[in-house]
Amino acid sequence: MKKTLLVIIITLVSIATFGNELLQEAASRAAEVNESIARLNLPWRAGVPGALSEFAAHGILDLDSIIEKWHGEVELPERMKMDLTKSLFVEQATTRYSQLISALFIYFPYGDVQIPEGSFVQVHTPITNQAFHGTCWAFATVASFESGLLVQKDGFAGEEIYEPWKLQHDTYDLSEQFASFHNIDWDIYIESIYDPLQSDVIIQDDSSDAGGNAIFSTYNSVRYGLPLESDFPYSMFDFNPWILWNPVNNNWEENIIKSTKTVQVYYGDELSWLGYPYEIYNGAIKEAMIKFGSLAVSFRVPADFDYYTEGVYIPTSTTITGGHAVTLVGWLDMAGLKAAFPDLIDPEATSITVNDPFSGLTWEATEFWIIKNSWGDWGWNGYYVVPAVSKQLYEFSANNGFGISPWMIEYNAMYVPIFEEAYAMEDVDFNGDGVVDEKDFDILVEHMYTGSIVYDISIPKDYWVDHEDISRFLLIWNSIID
Amino acid sequence: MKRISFMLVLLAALVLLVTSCFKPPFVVVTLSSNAGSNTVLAGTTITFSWKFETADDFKEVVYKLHINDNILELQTTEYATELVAGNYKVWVEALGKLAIESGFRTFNSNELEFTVGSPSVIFDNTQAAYASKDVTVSWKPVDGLTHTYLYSVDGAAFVETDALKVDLKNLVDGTHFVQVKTKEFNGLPNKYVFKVDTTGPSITIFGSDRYNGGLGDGDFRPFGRYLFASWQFSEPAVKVEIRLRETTEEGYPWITDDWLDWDPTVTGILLNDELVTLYLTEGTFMMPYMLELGHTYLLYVRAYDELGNNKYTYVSFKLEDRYTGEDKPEIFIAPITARPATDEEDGSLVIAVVAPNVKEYIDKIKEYFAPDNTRNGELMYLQNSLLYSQGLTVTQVFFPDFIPDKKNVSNFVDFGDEIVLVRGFVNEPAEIEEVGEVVAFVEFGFGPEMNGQEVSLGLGTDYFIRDGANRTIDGIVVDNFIYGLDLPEIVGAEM
Repeated sequence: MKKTLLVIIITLVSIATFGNELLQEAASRAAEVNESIARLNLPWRAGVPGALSEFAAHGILDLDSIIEKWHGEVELPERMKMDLTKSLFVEQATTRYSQLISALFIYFPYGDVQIPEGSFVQVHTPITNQAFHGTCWAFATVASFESGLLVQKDGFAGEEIYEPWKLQHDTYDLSEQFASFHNIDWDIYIESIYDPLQSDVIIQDDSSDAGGNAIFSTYNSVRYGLPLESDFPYSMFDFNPWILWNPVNNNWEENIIKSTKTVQVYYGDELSWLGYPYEIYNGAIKEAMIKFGSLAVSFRVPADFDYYTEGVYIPTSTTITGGHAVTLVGWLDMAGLKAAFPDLIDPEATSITVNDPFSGLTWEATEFWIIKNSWGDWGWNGYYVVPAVSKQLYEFSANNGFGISPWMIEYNAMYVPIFEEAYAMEDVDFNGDGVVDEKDFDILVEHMYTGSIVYDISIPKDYWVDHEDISRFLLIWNSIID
Repeated sequence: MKRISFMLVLLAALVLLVTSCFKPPFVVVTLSSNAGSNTVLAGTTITFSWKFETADDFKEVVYKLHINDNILELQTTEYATELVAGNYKVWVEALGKLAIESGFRTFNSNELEFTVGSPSVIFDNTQAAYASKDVTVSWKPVDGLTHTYLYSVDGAAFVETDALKVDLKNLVDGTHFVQVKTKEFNGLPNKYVFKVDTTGPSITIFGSDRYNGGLGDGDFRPFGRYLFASWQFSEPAVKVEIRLRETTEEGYPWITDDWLDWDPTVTGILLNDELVTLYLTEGTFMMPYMLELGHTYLLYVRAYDELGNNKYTYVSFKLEDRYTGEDKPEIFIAPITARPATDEEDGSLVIAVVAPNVKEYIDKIKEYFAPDNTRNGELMYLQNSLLYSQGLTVTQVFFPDFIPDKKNVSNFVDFGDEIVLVRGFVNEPAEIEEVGEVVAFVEFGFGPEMNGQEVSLGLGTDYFIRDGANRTIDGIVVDNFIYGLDLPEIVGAEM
């Protein structure tokens, strides 16, 4: 007994000693970041992430290994050109990536909701902790999924506030472990891009803890759905290089929730190059968030980001340490920003000057995204704030082909699930003969690939008649019969 | 008596006079060098010096320095030179002229004997590595002289030998070295470093495995139709071969008859049940339907190093999906009929969009294949597009009944180069019992100018397969290859 006690004491002392070294290392790096922040006069502060104590308690003492796990989002080898620009893959062996994108809905603003002029926070679930796995992409996907359920199924709505934690709801707690288990096999994915006989990208599951991307996990939310966290609890510190299959309830499948499709807000920089106005892009993000829930977003991570504690994050250097997927839960205007960070923001300020070390551009930000992270006790109560691309910068990007930098969430696409069963059925008796039948079907098909308000019955609506409207028509017809 | 005595005295005086006038001069010529020993390192400057010692009166002395057969006439008593390797005899011939004489007398010095040479050798071996455990290391002296040698193997004590080689036996794989120097000369030994490598590269094969090797029926079980197997070698491989065999209850038949000469720069293979690309040294080859779902195979990889050593290893793998190769749900196109155009009537090409196993796949109560929930609802919506060449015109589209006991609705939109085929299935009672696998027949017309021409046809990448909840049904394979098809020509009747 004494011997055991001694071993425990020695272990605890060792962890305390070495854990202290971990925190000291983080403190040292945070101090360097703060020096840079002061030198550049930036409106944010760095510090030691509180979550590190938990890592130290589990014997994880290498700060870089933690950072490597934190930045587990994998950037696609090349951006996939989807419906918007037509597929690049015209000679394909099988159907893989095409099937995935058949569940995507590229979203443009419809104008059917009022976008708050001030700050706004959408309802979302509490801060989570991915711990020692590169599963940020799964956490972002699940967080968006849970927020989508709150908004679309339960009718919760966001509010014009500036403190995001005030709109946390714990109604849903779905399994990040299950989502993480269904990562993509990156070897097959990448090889299939270059194999002359596999010119469509192969999507095949893999359970390696190798980083991921929300475009795949949102598809898995459609085909597999998500079980409850209580049925598939997240394993934070198992130290396996893969994700465990760990159902604790034999009937876990009975609690599965599936999305129907995924709304995608397309890459901001590409939309700018394609000539879409700033108001369209900015409106798409805000409308999607208001109507469907928080968005899974991603960005490339500058080295100083890990030490963020409060304020408006603007990178101090161009060193990139990986990718990260997070959840966009709202935005702040200047008034909201001042209220959120009174010690950091000049009460007389009308904008925040962004000196972007990546692009070398200087621009003025007046809107700021509120983003939910998955690192537990970190940052601004688990969140961070980053400048939203301004009209000025967006138009610069449109004219010059650069300007929206990788550390901004607008650099990548954004995703939020759709739960189509949550929406009311439209009247699809197009010919007004009192019945829904093949005549209405034929009328709808005749209007396929045309702009229309009457025949636009898809969820979401988009003024356009296509497969989404035909399939929605069939769903409604079936529901009438049933 | 007195006279005799006088004569004797006179004779003695004469003798004394003669001997005093004609005695030979006494000269000692002493040759020395700064070499220090009788072995001199080639390249060393040797200084010969000599002394001409005498009590006599010489009015002139010159010297001839003999270095073997070479003679150098010198006025000085010192000579410095750098001698090439060889054995040497050196002496000085001094020519002295006495003051009272007109001719020269010759006086020879002592003789120095020494060897000019080198401790160094030149190894005959030029290879940096050997694929043998027995290696003979031979050498030549750089000075061309005959020597006794000292050699050391891998840093062991030096061993004396008169031979110009050493036979090394049963060397272990790894780096070795032999040091050799001539015994006679003091200097650093020459070193020959070489590698003994009698084994081929060790090979590690990596592959997709959903459970990281946790299952017992295959090394790689990705729970999918694809496996990317890649390999790494412990040393550079100049030649790589692969081979595939199947594991059956009857045995292990080879799929590839022999080893395939694989492109060493390609370090992996994407295995699947449809089309496997083989990157061989003679080119890239397509292997359709080489592997089947549900079967277990062995992938062999053999690698050769630059010495020709080779080694192979293998892994087993199993490709599988929610269906087997026989009931795989697919959508593809098939030509049905073709008739050439005449002056009176357009030609006709009928293409079927075929979907074998699709209904069965969707209707099947899915057993868990892999630990996923892959259940779908019933098929509600199916949309495919058929891309076609210019010169073809859609003349008719026919949608056969596809789903039994449901109302089958259908329509199409034709864009002139792509026809979008739309099929819906409604839960309204319908007396549809006879159904087939064809989603649609599309008839194209074409004019006489198209007879014999190749046209392109293929299913587009925009397709939508939805269940009753309007959710994408996963796992159906749509063949998106664009195929070339020769339209028929009018064949004249032979008389």
